[in-house]
Amino acid sequence: MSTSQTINGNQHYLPASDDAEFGGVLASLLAGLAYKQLGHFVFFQTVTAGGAAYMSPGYGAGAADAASHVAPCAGRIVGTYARCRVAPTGQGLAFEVRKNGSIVIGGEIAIGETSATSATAVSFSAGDTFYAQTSSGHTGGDDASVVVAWAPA
Amino acid sequence: MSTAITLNGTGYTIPEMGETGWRTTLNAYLAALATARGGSLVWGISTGVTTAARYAPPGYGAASSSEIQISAPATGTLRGLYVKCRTAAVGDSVVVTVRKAGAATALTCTVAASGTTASDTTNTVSVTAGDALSVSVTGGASFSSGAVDFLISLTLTPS
Repeated sequence: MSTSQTINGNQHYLPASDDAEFGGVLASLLAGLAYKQLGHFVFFQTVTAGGAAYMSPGYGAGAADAASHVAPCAGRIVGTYARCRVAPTGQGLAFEVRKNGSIVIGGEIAIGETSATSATAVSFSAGDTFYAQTSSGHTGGDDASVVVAWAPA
Repeated sequence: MSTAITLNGTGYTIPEMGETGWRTTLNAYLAALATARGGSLVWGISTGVTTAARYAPPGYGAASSSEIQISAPATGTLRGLYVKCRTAAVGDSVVVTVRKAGAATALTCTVAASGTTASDTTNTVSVTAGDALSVSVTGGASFSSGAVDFLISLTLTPS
């Protein structure tokens, strides 16, 4: 009789050891464990209206320059989630995440909305740096955050 | 020859394939491994705990009267709420509650008056990636001071 495990939303069956598919199923299960999301970077900016600005790693009003998170190991970004307490008006609140200075993820919280998601996957190496910026031109957009979820490679 | 593995303080003796019970033991170990893996979420309040509800910023900063929300970075289960403040709460206890989508969840704990730590290792909360998460901190009616450098951490175990 097989037993099962659910990993990353997928159910894996572990057959008896003398079943032909045993090795493949066990390998799939272990691979699922290896790719579970483990880390995230948080960027925050209490006030985003008034001009393009750098976000604070962790929490803060914003940064004067490109203050970065640094990757502690090689990995892969698996999702990016932006949110603000006060919906932007006038125009959307655009955000971008840069890896080693280059834009790798972009998105926008639309007028009247308070969240946005990007599914863009980005691979990175240990020591790569990430910072985030928000756009100008909108009003509102207070307490904006960008959460970058990643998994080790 | 069997193999002994310890995970989160629990020992698992994995028998050789073909030995009685090998698959059951391996499955139990893998289930524990899936639960053990996860990332931490941290909030911190430098100052600003009052008898009214205040909200902790992600990372560390002054408490806010506005609800500060961040998005859950993965679908999974929140568990293991632990809090620690550098200076004890004076006058009354302080209640810490994890919130999802602007509403209180079952994940909560209370730092007693004169205490500096608390935890909830019993309750869990299911979340979907992108859910709005926040943490409220509220002093009891007689709370007067203290609860400074108030750090809150929990684990998000992806499903």
